Amino acid sequence: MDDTDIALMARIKEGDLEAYEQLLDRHQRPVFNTAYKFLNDEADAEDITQEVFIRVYKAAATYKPQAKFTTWLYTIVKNLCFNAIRKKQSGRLLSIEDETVPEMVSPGDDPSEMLSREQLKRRVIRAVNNLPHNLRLAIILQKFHGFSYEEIAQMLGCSQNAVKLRVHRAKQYLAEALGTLKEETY
Amino acid sequence: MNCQWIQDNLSAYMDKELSEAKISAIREHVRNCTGCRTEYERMSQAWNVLNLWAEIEPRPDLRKKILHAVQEEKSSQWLQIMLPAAAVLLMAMSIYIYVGYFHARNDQDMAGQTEGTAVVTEHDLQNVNEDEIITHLELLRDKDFYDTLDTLEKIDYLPLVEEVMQNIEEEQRSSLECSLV
Amino acid sequence: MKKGIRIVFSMVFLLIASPYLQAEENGITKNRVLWKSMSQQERVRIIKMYRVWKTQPAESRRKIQQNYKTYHNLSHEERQKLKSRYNEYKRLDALHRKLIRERVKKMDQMFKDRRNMILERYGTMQKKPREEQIRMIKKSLFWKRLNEQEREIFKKLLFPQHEENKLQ
Repeated sequence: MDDTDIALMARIKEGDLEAYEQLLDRHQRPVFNTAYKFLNDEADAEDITQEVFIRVYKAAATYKPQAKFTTWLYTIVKNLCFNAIRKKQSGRLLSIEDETVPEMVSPGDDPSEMLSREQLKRRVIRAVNNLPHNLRLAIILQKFHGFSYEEIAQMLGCSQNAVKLRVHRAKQYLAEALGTLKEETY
Repeated sequence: MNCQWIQDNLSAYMDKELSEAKISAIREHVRNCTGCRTEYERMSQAWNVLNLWAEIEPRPDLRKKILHAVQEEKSSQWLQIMLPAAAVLLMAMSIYIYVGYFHARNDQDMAGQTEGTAVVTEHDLQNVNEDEIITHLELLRDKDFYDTLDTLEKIDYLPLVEEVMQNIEEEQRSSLECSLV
Repeated sequence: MKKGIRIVFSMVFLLIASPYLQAEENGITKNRVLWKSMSQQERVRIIKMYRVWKTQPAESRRKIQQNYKTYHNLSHEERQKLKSRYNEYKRLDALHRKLIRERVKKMDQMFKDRRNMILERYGTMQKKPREEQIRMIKKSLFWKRLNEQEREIFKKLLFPQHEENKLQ
């Protein structure tokens, strides 16, 4: 039977690199995809993933399992993703704390159009990328990883109500941008 | 429970983040309210369409890169412990050596000894490497003594030389006599 | 990892070498203080010595350096003995000093097994009480074959002042 993440962390603390590889194989792909969806850049996502797992290794010696391992892991992911965004945005007026949902709808974005699957995917990506960072990360964690509001609240360092509101507003925006598309297109 | 409350909680309803009672109440309302049902369908359609954005596979060398970085981190963690230790040791040694040196110099200055370097005539100091003199000072001061030391040591053996020579000669003579007999 | 091994080796090296470096540094510091405390005349004498030293053949300089090391490895008693012997030696005229050097040289030129035999006997003799050693020297062929003047010279060289009464 596979060890739990916490048991693996205990083994890593003892210098067991095999346990580290096991933990890496278990979480590398979802961590990478979270960063990729958030940053929409494969190279940046790779850098973030590498940094996340180096931090996990460094922290193993002092790691105390106070919450779920994944909550702790994605808190690191969130911090690094936000740092990366801050670096990219330095000089811009909007902070990452800004949660203003962008205005709909730009010309040519008529959702009633009949779109190819690829076009539709591109529109989905664009819509998600248009979301403010806090909302974007909340829905990535909720939609693609199935984390509960409570877990997301811990990761983002806010209340459950705030998460609920963020997810709700994100869904409203996405509904605005994508909602009238025909179900058979996906 | 008016339509506004229902629509504000539709997202949480979709995510099953409400109590059973509230879920039942919303389900019931949505079934009967056209406006709220339309809003619910719009939102859930948009939510479902996100599935198009499938996960991608990270490049295979990412795993290798991470493991390599961790190996380096492991080495550097070890260095982080050893380097300060080595630095402290070096510093302690330097302080020990130089404190000793300045202490000796100060003792000398306190004793009011004359600074003799300037007194020696320039002619004497020409083509002289003072540092080399200082390095070999003791040896130079008693150079003649050290030059004769091996001779002086061997004087102790002299009283034994002739006995040993005589013994050897006797042995040689007796062996010669034996061979002649 | 290689860096780590290098660091450990450097530390071990420093730990081993530090007493020697310290000793050398102390020696130089001591010499520097000595140099500063010297009178002008002494310094001029040392500088002259230095010039002579620099012109000596490498072989002679090596021998002097070796003797210097040997001396510093000797016990306090042995050092004292050699110092007082040197004082006597210095007072001898050039002819007698030459005579002593020739006798020693002759011994150096002996076959190795003979020299070893002498050293062995000397070792045995050293284990005996000093009075016994003095008696042995006085009974030796070497002693008997010395003329009166030579005997006076070797008396000074072999028996320090305080041992004179033991010679009676």
